[in-house]
Amino acid sequence: MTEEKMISGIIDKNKAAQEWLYQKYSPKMLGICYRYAKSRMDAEDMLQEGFIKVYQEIHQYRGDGSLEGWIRRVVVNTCINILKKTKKFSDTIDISNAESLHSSYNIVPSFIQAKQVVECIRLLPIGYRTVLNLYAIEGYSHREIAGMLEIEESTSRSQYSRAKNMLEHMLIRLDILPENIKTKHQNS
Amino acid sequence: MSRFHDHSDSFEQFLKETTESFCMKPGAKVWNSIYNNIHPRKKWPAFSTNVILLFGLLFLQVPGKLKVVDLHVESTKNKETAIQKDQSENEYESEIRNNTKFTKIKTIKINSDIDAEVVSDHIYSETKQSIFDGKNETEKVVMMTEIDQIDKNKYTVIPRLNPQVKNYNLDVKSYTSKTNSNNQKQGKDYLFQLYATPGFGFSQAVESEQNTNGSITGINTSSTGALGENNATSKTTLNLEAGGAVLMNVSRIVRLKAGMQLNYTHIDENTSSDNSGTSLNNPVVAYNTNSQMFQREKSSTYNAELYQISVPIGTEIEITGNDRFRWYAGATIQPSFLMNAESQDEISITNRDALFGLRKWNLNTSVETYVSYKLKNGVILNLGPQFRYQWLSTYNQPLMSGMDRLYNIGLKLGVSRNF
Repeated sequence: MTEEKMISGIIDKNKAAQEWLYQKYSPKMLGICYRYAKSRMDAEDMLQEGFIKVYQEIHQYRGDGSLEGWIRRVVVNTCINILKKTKKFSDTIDISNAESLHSSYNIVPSFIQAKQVVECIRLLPIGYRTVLNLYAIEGYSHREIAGMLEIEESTSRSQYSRAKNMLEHMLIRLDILPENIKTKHQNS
Repeated sequence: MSRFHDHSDSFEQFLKETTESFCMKPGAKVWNSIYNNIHPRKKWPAFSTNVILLFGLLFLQVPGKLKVVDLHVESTKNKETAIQKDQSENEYESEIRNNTKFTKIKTIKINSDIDAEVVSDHIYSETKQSIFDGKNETEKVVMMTEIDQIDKNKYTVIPRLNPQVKNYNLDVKSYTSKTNSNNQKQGKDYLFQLYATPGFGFSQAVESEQNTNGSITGINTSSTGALGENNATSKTTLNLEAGGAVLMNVSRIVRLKAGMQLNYTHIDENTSSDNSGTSLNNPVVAYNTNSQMFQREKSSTYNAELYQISVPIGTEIEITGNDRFRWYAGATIQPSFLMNAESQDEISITNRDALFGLRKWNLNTSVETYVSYKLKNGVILNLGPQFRYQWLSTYNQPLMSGMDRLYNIGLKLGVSRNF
């Protein structure tokens, strides 16, 4: 079954094609939602809303990039919109909470590396991790992030800088960072 | 959007590469919620129910508007009459006395809201003018009439299209209006029928490009194709079809039929294949294999419920019969549309609403024979066997690897009524 056929099936509201898309991409998209969410339950809510939008707007997918990339963009935007409903990103975010994170380093579960990294990201305050997710992982620029989160570009830069610093400390303590990155960070 | 700025920072590159491999399997309820959101509850079951109820109400209402009276007349030479009222609430029997012998007129009153005396008097006066005017007194005349209430005090007697009635020069002064002539035509020509046919469904595999051997219900048949070896077994299942139809008399023994019918078909199939094969008749396995979403299973079950709506169009012939019993044989073709399908397979995490891979439009043919029995109140009961065959495969090639033919043997139970 080609991807084109499945996409046209989804546009025609073919239920099995819709489920095929869900089965194929939902695990990865839930992993993305999880980085933005407070809990797994919140992540699943984000995933749910994201996929509903995907099904509703898939006719707008022109095939310019990969389908996964398009779905990812829709899901990330959904996550951001949900977060914006409950959180003002322009606030100087959760510094007190961030300071207390040092005592949480040791509770990061030692599963596989990806899981550890994600859990470390999730330990960051919501504003920090949102900016970090968007900039470092999703690849948005600070200008784009500022527009998405309705904050100043400088705020995005400063929050990313703090988030990065905090995350690097966590990863070093857990001995997750590769040597070359660790060395570079320690030198800086 | 200028996505993906240059990850010149090795830390960012590390984060991106590491988190890319992070996946989580969502709970089953997530898909159920998504599914319910993008597929709001179908309106058609409620709509179908309403249509059937509406037809049912009309069906019940029709007898209230048409007052059907049976007259049985023996002897046509009458000079004096005497009317005796039977004690039965719905049945009146009048005696017409002539000079030489008794003649009986029996009226069966269907509608209880007509005053009995008025009906009897009216029928008596009409029959007296038309029938008792010197015709052959030994001839039996059976005359069906419909009495249509025009107002509270006036009733019109409408003889059915019976040549014998015309021969007697019925002089019914009050049934000359167009309405009466319409009623006359409808009363003879149209019949509304509601029916349900529970039955047993069978599936027969047929050749396809990838599968060369067939299997018949209950028999394991292996099929070796380009993609591997398969065994498919279909169980006999309990199916149901129900609907309504209008039948129109086009001659004394032939009538045409058109209606709407809901077909419920249950497929219960077990498919086994080797690790490199696809299933013969199992779209789920074929689909999953093609999509490589799941591990290929050595065996799997496919349990699906299909809901088709069809428009049966056909004809019926009366083989033999009398006033009460009649024996018919008929056949229909049924363009059918697959409205919904639900299935559950053993490797899916959710109940699958699986229109995918299933043919939406199909063609069924049914042949049937049944006997009908007419009750005193005009309702006709129908009972007889029916055979239905689906001409096209349930599955939609080339999406699916298997093809089949479904057939159904059932017992038709119906009620019908003239209108």
